[in-house]
Amino acid sequence: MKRNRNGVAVPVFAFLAAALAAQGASAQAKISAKERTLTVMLSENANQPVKEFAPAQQEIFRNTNIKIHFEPVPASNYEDKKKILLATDSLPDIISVKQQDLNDFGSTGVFLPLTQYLKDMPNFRKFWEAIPEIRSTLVDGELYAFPVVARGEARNGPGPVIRMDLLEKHGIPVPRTWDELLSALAKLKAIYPDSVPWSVRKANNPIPRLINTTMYMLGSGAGTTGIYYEGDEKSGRYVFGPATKEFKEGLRFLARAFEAKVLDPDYAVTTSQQWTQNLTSGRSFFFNDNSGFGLNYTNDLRKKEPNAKLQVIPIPANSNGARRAEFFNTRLSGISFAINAKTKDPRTVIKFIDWLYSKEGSDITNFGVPGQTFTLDAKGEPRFVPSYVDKFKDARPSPYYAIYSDLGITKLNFSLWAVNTVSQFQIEKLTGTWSPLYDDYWKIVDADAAYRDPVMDPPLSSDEAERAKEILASLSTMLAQEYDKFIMGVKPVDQYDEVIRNARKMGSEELEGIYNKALARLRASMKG
Amino acid sequence: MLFGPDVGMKLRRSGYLYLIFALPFIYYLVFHYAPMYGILIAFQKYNIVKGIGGSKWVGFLHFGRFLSDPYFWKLVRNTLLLNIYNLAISFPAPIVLALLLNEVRSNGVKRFVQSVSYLPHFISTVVVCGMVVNFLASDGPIYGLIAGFGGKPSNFLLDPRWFRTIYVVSDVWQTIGWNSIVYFAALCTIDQELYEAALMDGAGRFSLVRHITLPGIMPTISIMLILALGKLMTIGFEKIILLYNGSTYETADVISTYVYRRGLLGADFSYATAVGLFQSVIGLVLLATANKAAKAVGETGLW
Amino acid sequence: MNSQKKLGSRAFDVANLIALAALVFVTIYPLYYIGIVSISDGTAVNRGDVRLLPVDPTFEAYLTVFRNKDIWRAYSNTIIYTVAGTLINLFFSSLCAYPLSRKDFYGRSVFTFIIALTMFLSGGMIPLYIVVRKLRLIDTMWALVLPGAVNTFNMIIMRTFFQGIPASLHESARIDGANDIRVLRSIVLPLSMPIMATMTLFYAVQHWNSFFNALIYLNTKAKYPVQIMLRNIVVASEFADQQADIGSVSTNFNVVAQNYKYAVIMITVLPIICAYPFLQKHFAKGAMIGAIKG
Repeated sequence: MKRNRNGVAVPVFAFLAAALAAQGASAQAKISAKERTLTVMLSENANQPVKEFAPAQQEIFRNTNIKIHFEPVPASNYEDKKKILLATDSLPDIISVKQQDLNDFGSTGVFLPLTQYLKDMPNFRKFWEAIPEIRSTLVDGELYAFPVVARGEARNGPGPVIRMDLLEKHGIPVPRTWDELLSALAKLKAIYPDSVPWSVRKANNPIPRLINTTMYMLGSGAGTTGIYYEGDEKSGRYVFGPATKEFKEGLRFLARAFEAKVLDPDYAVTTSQQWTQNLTSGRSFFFNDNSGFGLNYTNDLRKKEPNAKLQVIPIPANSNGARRAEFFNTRLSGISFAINAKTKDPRTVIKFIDWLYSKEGSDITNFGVPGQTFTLDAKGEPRFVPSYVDKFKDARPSPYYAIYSDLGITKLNFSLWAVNTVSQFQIEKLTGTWSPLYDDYWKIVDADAAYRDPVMDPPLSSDEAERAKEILASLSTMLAQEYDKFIMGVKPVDQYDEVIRNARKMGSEELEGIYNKALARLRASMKG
Repeated sequence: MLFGPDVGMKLRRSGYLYLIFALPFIYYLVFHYAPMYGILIAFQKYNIVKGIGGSKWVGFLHFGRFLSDPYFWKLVRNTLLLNIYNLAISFPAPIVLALLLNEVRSNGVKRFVQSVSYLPHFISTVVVCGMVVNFLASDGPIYGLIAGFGGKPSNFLLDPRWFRTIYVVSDVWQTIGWNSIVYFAALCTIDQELYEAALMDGAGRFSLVRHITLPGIMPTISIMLILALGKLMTIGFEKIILLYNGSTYETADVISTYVYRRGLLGADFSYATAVGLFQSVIGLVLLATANKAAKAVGETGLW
Repeated sequence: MNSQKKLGSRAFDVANLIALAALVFVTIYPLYYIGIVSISDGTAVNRGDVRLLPVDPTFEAYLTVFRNKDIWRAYSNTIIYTVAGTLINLFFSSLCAYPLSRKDFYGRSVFTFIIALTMFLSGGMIPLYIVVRKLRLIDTMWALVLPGAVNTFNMIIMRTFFQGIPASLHESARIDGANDIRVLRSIVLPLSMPIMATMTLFYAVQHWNSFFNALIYLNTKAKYPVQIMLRNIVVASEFADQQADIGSVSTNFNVVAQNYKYAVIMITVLPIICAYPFLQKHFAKGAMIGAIKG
């Protein structure tokens, strides 16, 4: 497959797109014989308010005779409402869920079992066959929700971002190993004594953000709960990071960073707000987090320092000489739409969902109204109409969010084959917010072979999940109290061996066993 | 005793009162007692689709799991201690404020201070905690103050010994004004003539407070205290989640935060309900005890 | 002797004022800070430049909030819910508190116990939702005002105040032939203005700030009260880190600007501050005593 500049495979079935576009919607029979309203509950991001019956939904109605009635719930409390609706079996027709919900409630029968309908879904089947990860979403062998497939998503992940302008200004070479990074930041600290070179934001997952983003690069790993996947896709296995020697060495590095006063002394309590402030005020020069943020921060920095440049660097090599990092998942977006088991006439709903997976449905749910807000280019790919985009040039918080909200489109709305970066880049280029820095950014990340695609966790049986939860509840509480002691130098790193022993006593090896057994099951099923 | 000789007459005398009471009582039956069967979830392996009627019974399994959790005692201890510290400071503070305000002669000043003092109540917890974090940060005012006095500052949010103080102080700040409103209203109901008579007898200001003001609002204080004691085993998780971190789990991790973290790993309604029931039952016992104690010393009880 | 007393008294007054002034400063400064951040330029706020005065003042944050048409409709929803809810609250709470305040109410202890029990024992959200659903109240205003018609805590405070009304008043009304309903309406309530004002304030603020019940029971966006949208803005990115988000696509810069968040807070707080003075006149001393005399 050809790879374009963003490292994305050009869809092989582009010819289908041209054919469909030529045919036009009115020529085919509508999905639903008579008008039907489907209630869809999804999470509403504060930056992109959900409009009722926006142009995209109107277009959907015109094509399929199905009206979408949204029940948007603020993202801040989506989990609360979803849990109650699930627990009282009061779901709307279609509801946005995460894998955790499928694991928790799949077997209870609230969701419509979908495997039986696969044969009637030509469009979805293409993804089912092309993306093996979808098998990881099965619960007890049954598919309970339709995953939102990412379309043309540019890949990136947590990465190291540093003030390139300051490196240049003071003649410090771009670090290529973590040790070099440490000395580069130490040099900057000496020049700017009031700074905190490496800023981190805290997260309240069982694993602190600093460890979550950095450990894998340093040679160990911790994922979001401690369990992570080590090795290549075919032959790797699950390891409970915090109970390994490699993790200890990673802690040793972080302890050195802390002692050298390179790592923010407040790293364990800094909020997102403060983190942003540190980087945009010039108090900090480096972070290892979602690297895309560097571009936003650079814009803010430049209002006071026109030459400031926070840019991502290739992943530095760790003490084993290896460079490793992990992309965010770019084939499946992590969200799925489940169908209420009690919904009327499920066949129509299934047909409708399948249409949303088609090129035509996807174009509408991601770009709006054909001919008015988007047109198809020579390759059959949708492009926004510049005059429409122009109306939102000065919109807040950003032109693309305003457009998405106005039209009712893209990943944060109701789309099953959804774009995010494709549309964003188009809009940014049309409104002039795109800068050469962005090009550089994507080039660097794309060319960096250190990144690997993330591995989706295998489905656990409900007993296994129960046991895993039981172990993790106390294990992660014990560990959470230990990390900072070693990083901040309260206890010497060599004493971490005792923590490892404790973790093993509390069940870390059993946990690994559970995951690896499930992994073996998954691999066996994929072969057959 | 329930069916003594005068029952008939007593019932008739309360006739109209029953009429008045009927509506709110129905409300309680419908919206509080009808849903109470939900407590049964604590004794089941709850399945959503099967509902409470069809789910499997597991008896005290969840309670057992909770009580045998390695962290159980720590969580209980932290919950209790945090509440007790809070009670010790956050409870009297609004009373003191109401009394102090009462002594101010100018009505304008009184109103102004009162209006301003309750403003923090309206700032949501999330923002308050953000402010606390900013305040204690390494580039914040506390650091500056300590360094200015020649000390070696450290971030108090990382020190488990300071967590309770931070929690209580921010709580007092947020609630002192709002909670004083009740006491202020209570002060309004005190008979002015009592003051006038006492003043004519030559009583001093503190004497007035001790013998008239305090006894005047004692019923309110008593009830509030009993209710507060009933809540000793319960503490909300939102604020703690925003202020704690791994280093402070030792003092900051309470029952609700532990259950919350557990919920992140996978929903478990039965377990959460069981823990909640455990807290409620203990709370009830505490409430009943506090009520008895209050009545024993001659104060107004709850029932 | 008298001059000593006067000196002590004066000293106390001065100390009192100083303490109160300190309190005022400590409570006003954070709100002042929120105010100046809300009218400062977004980038300056991100950089942490705002300390004592607004930087590059602009009302942009407020304009953005108000340009959102949903907010206006949500605001009117909130006002309706608050007014209706508070009236229902006052009605039900008084009807509940009054009988319980009467010593001659047969069964008083038992009823109080049954009601107080509900503060501790609760079936939880799940069965309550089912009850509300069975009553067909889902997605209606009634789901917001009925389940909370009586806040037991508030009701108990009300009862305490009612108990403070001297029995002699009841007796004289009784002798005049009034039944209990008339006593409540014509004697007890008028004498209880301080507590009714307090309760109005408590309940109204509760409704004004409430978002959880609306979140759970309302499904149609057009019916949402304003707190739901505002909270989404204020909390954005605070708890986002909490979710174990494996594989979330990255470039969504989800952080909401702080000046925007703070503008939202100001919008929520200001109406209450303006409404409070109207209630304050009922916090007058001796409101009841006049009745005894007259």
